[in-house]
Amino acid sequence: MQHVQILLLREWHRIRGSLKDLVVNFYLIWPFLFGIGSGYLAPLTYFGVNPKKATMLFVGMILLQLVIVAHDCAMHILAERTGANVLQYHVTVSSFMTVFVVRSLFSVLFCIALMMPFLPIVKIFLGSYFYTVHTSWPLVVAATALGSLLSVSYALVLSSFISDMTQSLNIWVRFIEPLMWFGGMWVPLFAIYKALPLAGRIARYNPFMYVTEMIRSAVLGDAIYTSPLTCSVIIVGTSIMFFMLSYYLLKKKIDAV
Amino acid sequence: MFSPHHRAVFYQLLKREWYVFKGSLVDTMINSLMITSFMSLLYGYFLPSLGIEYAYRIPLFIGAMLIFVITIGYNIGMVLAQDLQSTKITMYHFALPLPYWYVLLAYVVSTALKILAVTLPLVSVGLFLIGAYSALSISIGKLALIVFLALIMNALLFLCLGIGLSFEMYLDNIWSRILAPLFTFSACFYTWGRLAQHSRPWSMVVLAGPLTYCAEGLRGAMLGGNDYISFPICVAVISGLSLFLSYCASIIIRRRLQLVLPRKTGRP
Repeated sequence: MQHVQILLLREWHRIRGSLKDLVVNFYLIWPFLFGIGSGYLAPLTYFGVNPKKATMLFVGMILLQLVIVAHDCAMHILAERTGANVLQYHVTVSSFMTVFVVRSLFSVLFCIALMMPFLPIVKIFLGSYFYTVHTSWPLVVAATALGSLLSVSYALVLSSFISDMTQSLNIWVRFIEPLMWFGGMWVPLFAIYKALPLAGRIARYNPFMYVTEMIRSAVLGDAIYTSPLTCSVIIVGTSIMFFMLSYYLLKKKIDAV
Repeated sequence: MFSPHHRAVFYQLLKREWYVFKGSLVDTMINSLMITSFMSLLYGYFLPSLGIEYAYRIPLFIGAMLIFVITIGYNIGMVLAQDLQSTKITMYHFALPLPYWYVLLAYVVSTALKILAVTLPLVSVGLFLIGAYSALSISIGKLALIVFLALIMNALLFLCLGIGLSFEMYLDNIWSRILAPLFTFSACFYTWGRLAQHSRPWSMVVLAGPLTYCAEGLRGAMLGGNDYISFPICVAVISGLSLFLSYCASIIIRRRLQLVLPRKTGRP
């Protein structure tokens, strides 16, 4: 337990230096830019003044932010594994299980802390143009937390099977971008189905689709989206699977005894 | 002005830049092709299924393709920023026995060529995928001019950023504080004319975004008609911005690289 505390404290010290930048970027700049750009200006030219449709289009963008934060956390773990061997050192002084749990837990909490205020801040910027008449805020909180869990677990899997930082760009484009584009970042599942039924069927197998479906359902309260319960079960199940996979891969990679 | 010696060094610099870029060209093309297909699906199929006017997909797609210009420019700038922190090859190039602006020109041309090499095939593929060819009304002269100017402007922008910012600053804050605002307040993901119809104040704000003129100029040159910002205005603004950025680049280079050359030699 003492190791867990010390390792968590170490992670906190690591990010403390950039805390001011993170707060400015994630609590102010990103919500403002995404809110104005994707939540107001673009939908205004697409649909005219239609807050409900604009909100439907915009809320999926939270997935991009979730994945960026999770990817950054995972890349940091990768850098510490392949660069200065800090990860290996931590494993030696504690245990692989402790290090893995601490890193995963910290990444999920970090992701939740940065992303939780995203939609409320956008609401402040956009006012009534952000359609929240039927919003269930507790469900939004749950969806953001589950989205963080899934994003971090997936990013950990990716960072576990690559060998150095130079592959990180390819990983992003080839293994993350497709899941975001077919994960409801721009348009919900029903619209993908309507446009291309085959793409819709494929998108149903994408766990990230359930994050955006849950958030859309929580914000807009429509029955057209997959039910939050189904989404939660799929997200939690997939996250557990990803954590187990990354545990196995990472253990093998650093040759932890 | 362009002596044989200077010309030889200039071409060698271009060759060197291209050689370095060639190493990652295949990966860059594969990655960009993937994103092009996603964008084609989004603008050609998914967004129209939500009720967006079908004809609107083409100007949207053309504007959105500027994301490649920015992404490739960002990567080139990142290599520069990283180099200035580690191997400092850029410093060596600027210390070569020729006026620094020859080296700057070589960097600008090579950056512009790299962006063009990736984006040109992608735009062609993307337009094919969304079935836009029949709707195009391309003016070759206008297109060549606007592409040339847009490439030069973006190359200068990323040279300024890559040389002017520290590597940490570049990695951590450039998207949130420079590139994302550029995109948000530029008519890339929508057309300026439509925005002006719905919100006059915001359309005025968007006029301050340099990418607005790149996107609208490209739309005007490829689609014709009067729906976009007038072509001469786009050309004038991008040219003016390029001149301003080249002035900024010359200051940034002299300050950051601390060229220990007599003032006269450093000038054209």
